[in-house]
Amino acid sequence: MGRYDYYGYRRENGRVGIRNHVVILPLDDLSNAACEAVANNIKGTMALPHPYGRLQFGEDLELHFRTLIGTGSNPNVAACVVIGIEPEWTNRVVEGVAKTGKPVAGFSIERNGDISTIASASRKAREFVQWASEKQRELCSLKELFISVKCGESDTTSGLASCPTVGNLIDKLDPLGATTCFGETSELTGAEVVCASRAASPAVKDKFMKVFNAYQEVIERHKTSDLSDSQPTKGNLEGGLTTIEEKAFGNLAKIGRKTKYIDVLNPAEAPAKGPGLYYMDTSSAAAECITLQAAARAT
Amino acid sequence: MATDFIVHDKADTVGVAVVEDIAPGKELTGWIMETDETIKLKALDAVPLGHKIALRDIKAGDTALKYGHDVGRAVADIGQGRHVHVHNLKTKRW
Repeated sequence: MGRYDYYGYRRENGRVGIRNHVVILPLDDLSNAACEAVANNIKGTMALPHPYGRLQFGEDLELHFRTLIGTGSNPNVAACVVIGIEPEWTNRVVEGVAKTGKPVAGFSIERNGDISTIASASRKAREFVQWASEKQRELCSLKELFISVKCGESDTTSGLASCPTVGNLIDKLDPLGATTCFGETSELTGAEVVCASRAASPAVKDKFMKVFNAYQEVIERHKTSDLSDSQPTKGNLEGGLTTIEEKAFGNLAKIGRKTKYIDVLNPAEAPAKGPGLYYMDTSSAAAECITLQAAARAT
Repeated sequence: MATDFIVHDKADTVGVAVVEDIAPGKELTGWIMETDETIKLKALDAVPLGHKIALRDIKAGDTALKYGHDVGRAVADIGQGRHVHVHNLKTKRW
């Protein structure tokens, strides 16, 4: 056993998870109730309700599918039940998750009704839970670990203690071959030049600045003198943070003092350049950022 | 002596209060993390825990430095030892 080895769940595609969830994944908001009913029926499963999946198109719809397929494909997920209002889009998610080799099954509500769908999906979920409960953890390497980092509610102590501590972890994990990821485009405002200087190459730096500037263009169109009290937030202000620049430097401390990021990812895009630190274009809103990083397979 | 405020970088013009009882007139001890130096400062305002205190006189229009970097512009004269927050410091971004 190596000094930094740990016990993890090795999945069919070789990826390593820390947890062993059976998830009940709604394709769309219409299927949330059915998923929650299945999770209530079958203990040990977890429903992941969300408000999306209808009347989306183009890049937005692609992001939706990438997020759902990525969530089901996350190595923390042992098996996955997908429920959607209709079969075509449901199957698109099922087929995406099936590429990992893990057990996945889809159910659609149209022409079956809620009650019958919940019954069929519950039976499948029970089968998956029993199967997953027999999975044994095995020793895994840090090189197989993918960790994402995200700020909680910030105050001035975030930049003094918690963020530098997380950054210290990144600086220590990076030479050991771990994969790590940070994001929060909006909360890099004021520290973007310093963040750009942490890119591993001029091409990666350009890619970062392109993403950052695209975000700034959106802000320029909608900004008020303080982004309607949203950056910094009321809680940030109470905690002593005054400006977005100050908040950004505290935020950036999460990537340590020396580690360079090797690529810039789209939201929910899985890293493809091997071990190292990645930057992902995400919102700073916690649920959104963590969801996108998990969909990129962070465990 | 106990630390009343912490400064990230030697170049900074503001420090962060890390105790709860900074009142006007209190003699404070600060710690500069970058250089591991101790500095002294007299508070002229009450500065709540986690809030900033001016380490030197900052004139209206001057840039405030924290982490060794620009964290905004003073919108009023800020005397050394004064509380620095939304009433006298503003982002340059929006």
